[in-house]
Amino acid sequence: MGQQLGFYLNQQFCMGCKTCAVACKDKNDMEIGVNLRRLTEVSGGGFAKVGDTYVPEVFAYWIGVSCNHCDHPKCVENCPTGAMHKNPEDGVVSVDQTKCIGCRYCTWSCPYGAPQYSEQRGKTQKCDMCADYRAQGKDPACVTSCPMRAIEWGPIDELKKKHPDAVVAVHGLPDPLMTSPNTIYTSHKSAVSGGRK
Amino acid sequence: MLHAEWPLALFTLLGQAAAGIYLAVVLVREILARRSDAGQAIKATVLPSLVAGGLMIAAAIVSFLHLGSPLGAYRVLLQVGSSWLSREIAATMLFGLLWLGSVVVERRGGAGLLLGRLTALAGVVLVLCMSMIYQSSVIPAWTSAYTMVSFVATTLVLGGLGMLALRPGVEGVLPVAGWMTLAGLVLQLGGLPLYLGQLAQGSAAGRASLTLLMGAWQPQMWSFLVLGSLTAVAAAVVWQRRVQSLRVVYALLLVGLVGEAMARVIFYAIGVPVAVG
Repeated sequence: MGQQLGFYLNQQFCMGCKTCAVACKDKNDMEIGVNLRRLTEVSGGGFAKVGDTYVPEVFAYWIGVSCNHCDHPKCVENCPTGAMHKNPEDGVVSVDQTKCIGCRYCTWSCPYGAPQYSEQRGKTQKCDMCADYRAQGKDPACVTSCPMRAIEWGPIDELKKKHPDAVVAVHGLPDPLMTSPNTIYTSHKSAVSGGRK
Repeated sequence: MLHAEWPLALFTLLGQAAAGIYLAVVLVREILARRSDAGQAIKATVLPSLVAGGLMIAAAIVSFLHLGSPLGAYRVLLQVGSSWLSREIAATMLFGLLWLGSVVVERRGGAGLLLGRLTALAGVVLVLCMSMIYQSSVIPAWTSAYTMVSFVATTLVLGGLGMLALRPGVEGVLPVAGWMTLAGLVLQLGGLPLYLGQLAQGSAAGRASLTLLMGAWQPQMWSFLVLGSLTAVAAAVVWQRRVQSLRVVYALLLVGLVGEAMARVIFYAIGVPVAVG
């Protein structure tokens, strides 16, 4: 295989504006309810006693998720028609619309909710890292649109070198051992969960 | 999750009923063939054999309703090497072909016992493939081994009760139906506490499933427990007292069927994926 592509997200920069999700939705012309890139807020905490008083000790951060173009994608393994496939050249997982029969098995198989079923099209849709844009030498829509420049894409090995602090496991995401995802995060300070590099 | 999965609930129930009834047919034939001749054994079980085939055909038709783009359904066999869904459809087709072969051989006066055994085996393989589809998902309520236990149990219960309702007076039917029904319900009801414990101690999605089960779906859960227990007791009484009243047998089938349908509806309703966002 050629160089495996992946995403990098900086949780410390992400402010949850959801511009990436809107740009993705617009670019892919998705119906209501189908979101190939999503943002989830993780929040918690409470009051902590300091001396004779209580002070708020809370946290909130955002997890941006699309397809992680995993090394071991369960969606590809479980797809009965071969529509869901991993490109041998760049490792991008995408769904061939001419082969998808809309059985939705892939939507039960992805721990990140990446494949999304479109009732209108009767088929599954998912992030292909904007293959058409990349073919034109452009960046994926989510990357270009982010006003905080919190999303990057490229060969995952290069992203790891560029961001040596980045990890694959952040609190709020499923165990990366399930599918070996190719998205790395610079964790929010509250999101570190024994993150593995 | 349930709203989109009605065709699957129906498909799995019909497919498991077909596999179960055919398993009962073969078991009854084995008993009868040892006591009389194979031809007599086959004659006595023609109706349930035909019903099993009909149910499998109905299941196959219903399965198309689940697909968003059914015209491409022929492609579903392309990934038998990796996808349990492909294997499920392959097993369905194998069952159908073997069943058709059995019917043809029997029509021509042949005994077809071996073909029948192979058909029953294909039915069992189909049920195992069905459960593996769910066990290979990322939905904790489905990935448990209880999915297989529950699917096998439904196969035994519907097969036993279906056989009893179709051929109540035939020798060998009562013990086969009794064993199958009781074994199925003991598995299904007996495995439930362990399954609930697994959900309680599992991931957030598993606990969310448990919350659904103990909240919005609690009436259905209790209905299943009551109907399942009632079916087990009634089946034991029918078996031991050799009851052959059609009214009683049909009532037993109805109660068992509603209980199993309730269990299947709950199965799809509490499926919460581990996915983010």
